[in-house]
Amino acid sequence: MTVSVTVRAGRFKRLKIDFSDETFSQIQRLAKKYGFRTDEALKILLLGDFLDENVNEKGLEHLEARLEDLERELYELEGKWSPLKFKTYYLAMDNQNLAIQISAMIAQNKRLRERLGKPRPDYSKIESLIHYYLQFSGKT
Amino acid sequence: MFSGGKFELTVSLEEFKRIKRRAKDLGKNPELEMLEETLMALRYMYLKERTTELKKKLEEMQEHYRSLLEFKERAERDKEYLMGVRLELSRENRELEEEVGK
Repeated sequence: MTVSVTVRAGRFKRLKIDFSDETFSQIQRLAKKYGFRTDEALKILLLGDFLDENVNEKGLEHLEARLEDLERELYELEGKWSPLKFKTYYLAMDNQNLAIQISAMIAQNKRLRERLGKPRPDYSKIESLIHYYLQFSGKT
Repeated sequence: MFSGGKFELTVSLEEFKRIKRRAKDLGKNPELEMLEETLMALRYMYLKERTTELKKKLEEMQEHYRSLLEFKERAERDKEYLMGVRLELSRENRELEEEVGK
């Protein structure tokens, strides 16, 4: 038994090439083994577009293992990413609320000190922190 | 399995000419060994490219994760500091109010 491959180009060009069942199933097997469709492998064979890259099974297996490792690492990192982002967001929001409260308390502190004629302490460090968290919009 | 069947392949006119020139020998003497080497090489190239892409993506994510972690640690320290300041200001404002009230 044979498998008849019809090659078409344009509307009228046709060519028939017969392969034995065994050959055709070998082409299918090779295509599947290396992750290609049968028509892709067949086209390479028919065109003779061969590569001579000196790659062996061991090199391929090594690369596949490396890829699996990278995919696993990425998956694990993505798993840790969301809870951290969630936690950080709420932490920054807490700080924003604290900044709002402290800002009002500083204003009150300045007013009271002024009434009592007391010197005003240096609020610059806390004010810059307040400014930092008031600008926080959650885009981390 | 594709036994006794038909298979169709559409190619460009240029490719058709090239296949036609090779057609005589193709059915009788298929270069399966060379096909396997080629598929293996193409698979290798694909995996190499994919590995490079993933490595880059992983490095970017690790960097982003590190900076998020740093931000979280900073925010934790800041929260503690802000709570301390709030407590101190609350105490001081209460005392100042009492002083004003006297």
